[in-house]
Amino acid sequence: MKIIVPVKRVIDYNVKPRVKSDGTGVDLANVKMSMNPFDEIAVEEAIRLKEAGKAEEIIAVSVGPAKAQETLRTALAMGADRAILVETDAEVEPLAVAKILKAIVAEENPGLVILGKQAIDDDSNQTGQMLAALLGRPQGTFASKVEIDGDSVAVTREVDGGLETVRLAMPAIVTTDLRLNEPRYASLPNIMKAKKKPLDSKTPADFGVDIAPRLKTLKVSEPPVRQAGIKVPDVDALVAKLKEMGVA
Amino acid sequence: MNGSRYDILFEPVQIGPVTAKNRFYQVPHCNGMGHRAPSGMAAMRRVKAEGGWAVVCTEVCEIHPSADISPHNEARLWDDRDIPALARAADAIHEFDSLAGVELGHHGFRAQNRISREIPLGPSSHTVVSYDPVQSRAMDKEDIRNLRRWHAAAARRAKQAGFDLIYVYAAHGLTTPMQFLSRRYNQRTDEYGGSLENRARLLRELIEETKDAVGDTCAVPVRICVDELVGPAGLCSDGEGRDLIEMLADLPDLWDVTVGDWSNDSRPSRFGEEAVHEDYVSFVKQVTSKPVVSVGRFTSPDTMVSQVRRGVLDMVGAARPSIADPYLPNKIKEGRLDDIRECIGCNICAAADNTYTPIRCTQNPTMGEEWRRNWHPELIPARESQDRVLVVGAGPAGLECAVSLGKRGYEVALAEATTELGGRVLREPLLPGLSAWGRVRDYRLGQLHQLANVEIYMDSHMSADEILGAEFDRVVLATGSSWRRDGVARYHRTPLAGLDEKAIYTPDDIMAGRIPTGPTVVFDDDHYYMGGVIAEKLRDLGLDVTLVTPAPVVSGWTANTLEQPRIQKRLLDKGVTIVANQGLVGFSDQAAKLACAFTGRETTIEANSVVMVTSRTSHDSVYNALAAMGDQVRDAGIKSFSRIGDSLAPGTIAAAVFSGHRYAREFEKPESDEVPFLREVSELGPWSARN
Ligand SMILES: Cc1cc2nc3c(=O)[nH]c(=O)nc-3n(C[C@H](O)[C@H](O)[C@H](O)COP(=O)(O)O)c2cc1C
Ligand code: SF4
Repeated sequence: MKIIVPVKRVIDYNVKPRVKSDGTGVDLANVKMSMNPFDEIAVEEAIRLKEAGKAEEIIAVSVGPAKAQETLRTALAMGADRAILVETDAEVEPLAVAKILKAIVAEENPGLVILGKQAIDDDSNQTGQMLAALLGRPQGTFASKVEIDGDSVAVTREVDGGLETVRLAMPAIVTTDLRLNEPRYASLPNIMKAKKKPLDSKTPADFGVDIAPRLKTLKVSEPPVRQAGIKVPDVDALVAKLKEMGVA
Repeated sequence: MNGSRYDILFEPVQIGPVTAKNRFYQVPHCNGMGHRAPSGMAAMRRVKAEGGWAVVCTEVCEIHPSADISPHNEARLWDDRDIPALARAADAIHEFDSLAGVELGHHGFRAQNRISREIPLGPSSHTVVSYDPVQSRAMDKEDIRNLRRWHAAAARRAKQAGFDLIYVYAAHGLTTPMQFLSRRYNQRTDEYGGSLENRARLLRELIEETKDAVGDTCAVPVRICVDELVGPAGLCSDGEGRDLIEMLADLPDLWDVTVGDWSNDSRPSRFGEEAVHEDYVSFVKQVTSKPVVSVGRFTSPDTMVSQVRRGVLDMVGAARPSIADPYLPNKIKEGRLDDIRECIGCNICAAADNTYTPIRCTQNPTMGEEWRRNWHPELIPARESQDRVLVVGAGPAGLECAVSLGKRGYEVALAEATTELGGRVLREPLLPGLSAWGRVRDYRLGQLHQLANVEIYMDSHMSADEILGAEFDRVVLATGSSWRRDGVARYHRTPLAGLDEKAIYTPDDIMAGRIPTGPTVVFDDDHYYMGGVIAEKLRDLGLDVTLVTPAPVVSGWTANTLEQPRIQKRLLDKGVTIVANQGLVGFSDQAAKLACAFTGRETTIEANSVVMVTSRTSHDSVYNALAAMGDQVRDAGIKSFSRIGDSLAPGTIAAAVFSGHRYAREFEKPESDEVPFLREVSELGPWSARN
């Protein structure tokens, strides 16, 4: 069985994003980029399934600029077997990514596609669901546990109020939540070795996908600055203050 | 940042005839350069002014040969010949519209006068504080008149040198007016002794006469001690300390308020948090209308705002925070709070002064190097080539190296063998009292995350072969060191034989959670902080701990960092047994054999385990492997490979940071036999007709 893991190159989670002065977006010039953390969890899960003998090949896929190669190398260093870069400098919305992935799934026929539940840059939380819909396949989203049993996969989901387990017939789509696993690091020696692993380069046109955006960004702005706090001497004063502010 | 909650810190403050542009006040601090390296001192102050401090002071300035505290290198205004050196500092400070302050001081019976050979002066006859076999003589009326004249003359020279604030210094027990104030030191029966009013007479006269001399254009601040921390026997903030401020309330132009001696004032982070003096200091603003400055290792802008808003202080005084980050004010102003290099309270800066050497700082490797190496805390030259640099090891040296190379624009890979960054500045801050030291790591990680050209690789142990295959132009090994088990340090220069290996531990074991059992001997032949900290940690875990050291005191070198007496007290309070002047000479069958450091006479104490806090071994195997590869290294495209930090030679965290920084600035420079820094060589005096 093959597993496809889409990975996205995003602004590093440690970086404090700065909005461009004209309000058209986040300034990415000279900003540290790395793999979307939920995607790292997806790669890790795929590797663990392979290590457990449930999968034979892991294919990492990224849609993005040439630099997204580095993100794919990271996936390869962690343990993916080969990679496909669908290169474009344009901003790609979840629907376009899902269409490209649909085309790749058609070529590769994976038993599972494991995606991060969302990317930390746009927080869309859409690609996995859209892909499942386009393919007409079952989806297990927000997975905190993935267990393959024969032709089906049991996915434990983190939902409001607890855990829900669903069983999906494979091929299926899974999206990862934070607690699914703790991903390994891509070590420098492994990054060097990963340079020998195959990395195919494609473009959206190769898959006949129109990636023109359907949404228009009106304005991007910084969150409001925190106002000065006040200190209260004790709990009574705190309660009084909250009442005064109409909060309690 | 207009409209920010920190705006209040950038309001101007009137100080007598001069105006400070904001509330940031760099209080006087010595720097080991002083009169011996005036350009170094001036360049260091200049960077503070550039970084936004509204007031930048010199260190204490000896006003007369009878105030000679050499070999400490302080400022001097003994005569007119000392003016140009200080004028250089004042001019440098003025370049950025900051006010220049000078702290005139006469050290009374604290001055051993080692160079001048004058008899120390004091309110009464006292031994000096060091063990120098020297006593002061009680000043007579003429001595007092002389002192007042010297002070006024020094004030006029200071004004001539260009200073805007000219201090009267009566704090830290260090200076004559304070020694007159304190009942402990002043046993006089004339009008300068007895009542507080009498004991304050000299201080009052000095303030008045300094104002007469220079007060038309210069402010006259007073640095005062409001509590000697000896109860009613001395000044205390709910007794004579308060009475004194009430008495002189509006006489000076500003009160610069301190508590206790220097070791209390510059309280190390092991023994005090930010704003540690507030309870002693906060009354002052209620009894004077003049601006109040005080200190407390302030690095948090929110704490600063709170101090001002709650009416504790008008100006935020800082010595160490300004050393660790000369740009603290500007960073707050620009809203760059994540870029603040917070002081860790290690007092390595103080140790430099106490070892008579130019100041250095753990957090700020450029401190003291502004003039002689032309280093700047915020600016670093752009890269000279496209070289790609591999830094192996992310401890203090590797982190600093990667950050500084990254800021130069080099493409850097930082490879760390474990899955966490920090090395010893990750492990050691978990030991008792050392948590603030984690700021060495925090600051550098914060910077690294902003550098797109530095890639961090975890879990990346690099063998020599892997380094060869990694395609870098330069390789820097920052692989640290580990503590030895064999007893080798100062007392034993060769390994100690016959040790019960199974029950020997090192600080690395303790930090990794391998904890001994039963009665434990900590053998400290390192003499910096580690022995005391390990003893404290094991005692906290409930072990029966005996600290054995060949030295007369625990953690002896920490006398330089102003920590020693507090360390010894803490260990004793916690119930650690201290056995001084003894070396460990054997350990087997649950018995540690000790020998007197002087007579060699042997005794035995019961011990289940021994922790060796002795010396460390560099991790140099990868370096040696590369060195053994010869041409292969060059053939792999590697132009150079080097070691930095503890992997080159174990030392302080400060030395590791410095080493990483130095590599980043200098690795392209060709090898040279030239002295690597500027020196100020003193002018020869007149030679003819000396006898
Ligand atoms: C290295 C160093 C040197 C100092 N030298 C002086 C000095 O010459 N005169 C003085 O009044 N205080 C001196 N101090 C005390 C400081 O002015 C200050 O009061 C103290 O360090 C507490 O402030 P901080 O917590 O901001 O460091 C020195 C402090 C340090 C760390
Ligand atoms: S040496 Fe240590 S205490 Fe002194 S300023 Fe630097 S970090 Fe702070």
